[in-house]
Amino acid sequence: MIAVRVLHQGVIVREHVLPGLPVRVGRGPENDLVLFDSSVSRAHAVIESDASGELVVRDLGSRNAVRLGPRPVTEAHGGRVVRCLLGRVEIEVERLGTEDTLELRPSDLAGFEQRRSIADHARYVALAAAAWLAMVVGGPGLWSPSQQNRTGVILGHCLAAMVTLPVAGLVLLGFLRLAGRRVRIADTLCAFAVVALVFAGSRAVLTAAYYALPSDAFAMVKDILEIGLTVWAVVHLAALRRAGRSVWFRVAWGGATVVLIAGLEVLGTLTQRRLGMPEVNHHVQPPLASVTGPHRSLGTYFDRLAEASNIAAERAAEVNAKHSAARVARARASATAGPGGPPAN
Amino acid sequence: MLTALLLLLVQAAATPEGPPSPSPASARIYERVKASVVTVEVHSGNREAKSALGSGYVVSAEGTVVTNYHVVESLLAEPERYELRVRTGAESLPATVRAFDLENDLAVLSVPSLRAAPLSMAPALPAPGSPIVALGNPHGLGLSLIEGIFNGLAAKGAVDRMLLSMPLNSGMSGGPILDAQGRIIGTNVSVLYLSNSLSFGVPAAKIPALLTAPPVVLERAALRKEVTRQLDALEASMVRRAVAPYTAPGEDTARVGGAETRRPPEVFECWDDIQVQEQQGMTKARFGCDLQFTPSIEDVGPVGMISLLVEHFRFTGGGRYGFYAHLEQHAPAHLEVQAQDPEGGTLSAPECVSDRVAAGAHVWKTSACVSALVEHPGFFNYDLVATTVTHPTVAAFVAVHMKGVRPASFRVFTERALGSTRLLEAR
Repeated sequence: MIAVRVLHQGVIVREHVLPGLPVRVGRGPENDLVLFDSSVSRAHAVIESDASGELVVRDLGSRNAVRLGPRPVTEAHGGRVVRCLLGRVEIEVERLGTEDTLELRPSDLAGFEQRRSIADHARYVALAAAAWLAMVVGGPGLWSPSQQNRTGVILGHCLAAMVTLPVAGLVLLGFLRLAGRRVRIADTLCAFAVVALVFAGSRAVLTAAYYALPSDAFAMVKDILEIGLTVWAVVHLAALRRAGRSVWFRVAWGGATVVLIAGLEVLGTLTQRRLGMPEVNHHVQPPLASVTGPHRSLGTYFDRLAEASNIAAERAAEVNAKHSAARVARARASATAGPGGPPAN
Repeated sequence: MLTALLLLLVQAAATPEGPPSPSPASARIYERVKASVVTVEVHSGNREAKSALGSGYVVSAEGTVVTNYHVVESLLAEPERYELRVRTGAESLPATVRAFDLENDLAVLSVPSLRAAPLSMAPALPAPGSPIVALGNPHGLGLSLIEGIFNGLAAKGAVDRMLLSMPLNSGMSGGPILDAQGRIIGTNVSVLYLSNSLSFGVPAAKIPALLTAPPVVLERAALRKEVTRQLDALEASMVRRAVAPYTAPGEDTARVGGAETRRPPEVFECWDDIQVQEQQGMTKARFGCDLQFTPSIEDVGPVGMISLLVEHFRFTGGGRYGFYAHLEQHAPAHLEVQAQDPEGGTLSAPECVSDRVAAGAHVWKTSACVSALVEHPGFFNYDLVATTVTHPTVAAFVAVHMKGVRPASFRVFTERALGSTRLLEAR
């Protein structure tokens, strides 16, 4: 069996299943498959199988040609699936076996593509914007006494969310379409809404962690949570509407993101070390029902500071040794190159 | 330009409402001592231009000259790069540094070819209110005499300083301060920044010890060692004058808005201030103290320095959450820790420690950074900020900066500062 699908902007809008080859395609009523479009010739192309049994779409001398992307071809070859343009109509030809019509499990039905309305699109954007605003409003910075214009800040973020989200949705859509994914703008908007909601939720977790954990542990949990969520978000967006099982795909993307983040972290740390920049975590939150979070004694703190002093002293000793060595080398160089020079004989 | 300036000076001297016209006594002193006051110049290879300029005076017939440490500090930091010369009249003579005193900002130079009558020492400081004169070579323009009043020793500060009512100028550093009989009572040292006619001198009593001190070796490593040795002396004097009285048992407290803290000893210069920021719903009280006249070393900056800041915040506005966001931004702004090139420089890259710490009556979020002095082992720069996290809408904030000190001094001082600061109202 041969399936010929008509696509509009990458999404299937029409499908014909024909019993066998060849299949003649054109605008004329005598064809096996009629494409009623002004860019399609009366007898435009024929779908056959070549010597090796693979599918081929052959041009029958049409006015607007058979094209693979922008390139006109006389024959479009492919394995199981061929995608090409007849005039301006995009078609996809697939040879179907009986295994392609296995019955769906009820659990797979949930992921089945549904038609979405303008209201759905608006809902996704609104959800993502709400999560974004929740992060701003839930953040302590907005309520700081030094923050003079709260309304302005909130309105600014509203505007930013309304502009950024659709643009990000379109950009992601473009990338996924390039990868041959059958996605629509509603899918990417929905994905961004989910990511924004999860990030907003993580704020609450971090606020609780501040009171439960010692300062150092909190800083570590904060880093891990932030990195973990970023990796998850990248994988979630990259695997959007990917057909079939995608464990390895997700692992590969997750791994690549981890490597990228780790690389950036290492680069950041190295830069910080190179510039000798201090790293200070002076995060404070108000006591929660008189709970300030776990704390140490002043003695323990000064012991830790004594260790820090030792580290600083070691660094100083290293620099000093390096400088002394450089000075000795300079002195030696100027002594040998001096006006007297080495004794000549 | 120079002529115009000189003309102005001449006119100012001629007009009756200008500065007091030289009395006959001043004119006599000027004539008598002018040959014994010299200009000290530090050259970096080029004899025509100098990289540092000050004044000095002769104290012995063998050509011993006293000046300020800060006049020759660039030479002491890099003896191989600089050359020292002493100018008297039209003569420019080679000189070497024989001894220096970081704490009192003094240096003794040896100028073998200098033939000038030494000035005599006064047996004691004159009574406060006595007329005095200071000599020097301001900006290298020419020997100048300034009349003024000796007001006794400054009440504040890590070291003894004479309080002088006279407008000393740049370049007069190291020149002599003489009593009415023309005898040495001290050495010019500094002018208070942005103040009018308030100057300082080092009492002459600090000179004899320096004259008998063993001569320093003018070699980089040896000079560094000598500075380190003097840092120890400075540390001991800082502990004795400032740290020990502060950490001694006692209940003398200073009120800082709704908080109180241990009152630092008299050697600190303190100021306070209350700001009501009505729009933000916040009242902020500050109490800051500095140790005055702390010395500083070339490139390293101040040493033996202590600065303490205690603040109290009361928030009557909306959410406590935002109040803490403000505190979170406020603290690092006071940390003042700068990046240090780990490959070079005079300070190591800073290392920081942040934690919640129980001290005194409260739990404080405390962040501190430490840098080690590269060429003076055992001495560190410390910066610490701490914010109370025990009350939702009132907080105390403490910042301690100590530069060029040993860890033990920082520890005891800061323990007292945090331990003694407490909120009086708990809301």
